[in-house]
Amino acid sequence: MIRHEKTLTKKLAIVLVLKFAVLLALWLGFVRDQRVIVDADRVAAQLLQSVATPTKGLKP
Amino acid sequence: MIPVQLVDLSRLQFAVTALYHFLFVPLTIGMVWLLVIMESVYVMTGNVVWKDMTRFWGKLFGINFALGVTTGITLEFQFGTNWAYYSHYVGDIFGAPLAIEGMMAFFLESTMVGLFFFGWERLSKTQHVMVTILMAIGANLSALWILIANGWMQNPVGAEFNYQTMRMEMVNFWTIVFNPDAQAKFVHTVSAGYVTGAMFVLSISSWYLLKKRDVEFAKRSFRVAAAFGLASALSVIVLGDESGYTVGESQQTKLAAMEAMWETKPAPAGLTMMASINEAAQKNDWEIEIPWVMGLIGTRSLTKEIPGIHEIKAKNRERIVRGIVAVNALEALRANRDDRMAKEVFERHKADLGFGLLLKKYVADVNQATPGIIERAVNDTVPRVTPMFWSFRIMVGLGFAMLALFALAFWNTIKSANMQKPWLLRLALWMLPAPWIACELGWFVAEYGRQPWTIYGVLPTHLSVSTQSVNSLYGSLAGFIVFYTVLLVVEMFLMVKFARMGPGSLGTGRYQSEPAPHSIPAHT
Repeated sequence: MIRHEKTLTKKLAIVLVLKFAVLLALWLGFVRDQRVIVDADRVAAQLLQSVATPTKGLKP
Repeated sequence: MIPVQLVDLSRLQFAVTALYHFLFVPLTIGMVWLLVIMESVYVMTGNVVWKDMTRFWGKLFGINFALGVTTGITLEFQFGTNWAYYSHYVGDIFGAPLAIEGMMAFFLESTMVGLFFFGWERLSKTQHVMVTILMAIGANLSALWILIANGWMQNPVGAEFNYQTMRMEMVNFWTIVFNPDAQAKFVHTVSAGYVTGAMFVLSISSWYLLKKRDVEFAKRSFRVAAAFGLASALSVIVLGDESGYTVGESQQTKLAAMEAMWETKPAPAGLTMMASINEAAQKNDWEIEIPWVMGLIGTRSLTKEIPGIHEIKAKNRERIVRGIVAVNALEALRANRDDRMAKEVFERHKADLGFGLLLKKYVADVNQATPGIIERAVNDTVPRVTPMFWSFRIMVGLGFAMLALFALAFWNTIKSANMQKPWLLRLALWMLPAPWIACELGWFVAEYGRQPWTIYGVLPTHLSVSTQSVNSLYGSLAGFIVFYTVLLVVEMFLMVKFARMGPGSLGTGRYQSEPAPHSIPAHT
């Protein structure tokens, strides 16, 4: 493997590791705790009793 | 209570991440077949320049694959966080092709990508070309399963709503797999990917030819890209016609909006080339039309009419009224699951349940919907015409421009005249962004045109979103944008760097700026 290819392999490996780290950070920051428990009753409540409003924010 | 801001932000986040994701995808889908062609010629002829071509373009393919891989995973994050109600409602169907894509296609593709890059010295020529072919099949199978899932969102066949579980349930897997919308979308989308791959190779080869460097290598690459691009651009147009036909069959609102067709015209309808769209007055102030063409494309007949927006809205008004009955019956069934009367009424009207649910955007109790509210819901059933009309036309215009370019490139390359036509090489270079713009606009037309539904005619978008905080959405949106922008910058940097280095980066000694122990064989 020549120098250019070694450099590219190294750079791509770094990118992949960083990407994994960023994805993990995004998941930890925004996904893990955003558990929206959904079951038939909750769907029924959303579909049959909700109304869209232009208000800001909402409690989970 | 569902804030409109929550719905809009969730949509924006999905749109942004999907559009970023699709900057990487078409190049992977397309370039992999170019690698198959190049390596197959190498195996058949033994001419080492074809191996060098496979390795060099494979390197650029590898950069794109490494940067692009897993960018789709954030979309799957969002199904859970932002679209949890959607995921419950249709997860039984939507989840299956996504799981198959991961388990079957992506694993196959990823394994073969590893063998492709690290197997040159370890596998025989035949074994290695088989790896490349399997890598191509994996990439395309991946697209197939994703588009089966997306096709079902456009045309939800093979499933039924169960009021007890409050979800759509699969009744026939093969109906979903062979959904005409999914199949038409698949072939159209992968063909667009092939055009993207061909344009990428053609543009960079043109740059080498303009600079008069690595000419033999660039000429061969140019020739392969021109031939493959011409066949692919023709396929995109023919298969796009098929895709348009299936849209006319299953999504009349999308077709009418794409064509700014306010009124039902006598069959066969003309194709509106350009128009001044007046959305407020719901008409075109002026339009340039080619007689018959739209009728032939949209219905494949001379006698079948294509309904205009006003006629579609009138039908949707009736469906919303029937949908109110379905919503009431569903509420009664939820209160008492043994209510036979409610069950009978629901079975009769359940096809219009989604239309009744459209009213929930404006009123908690659908029975309180005034004629004004019903009218607002009716207007919601057709997406905004202006962005649909122009996005579609720019996409089609770029498609024909690329077809013309590939045809010219192919003609000149078989005449061995491409070196004498610097204007053609410059045109090929400047057309590099065209397939990406066309692909992104195509997805915009497909997805914006599906509004106001996540599942066409079944589940309104505003009822699909999760009940989470707006601030959290702003945070994740910013995170995704930063993440994808960094990936894109790194991709551009590496692509430009290695494209500038050219095949000399392979270190074979056969190319410019390298010591030359062997020259490129003249024959192919």
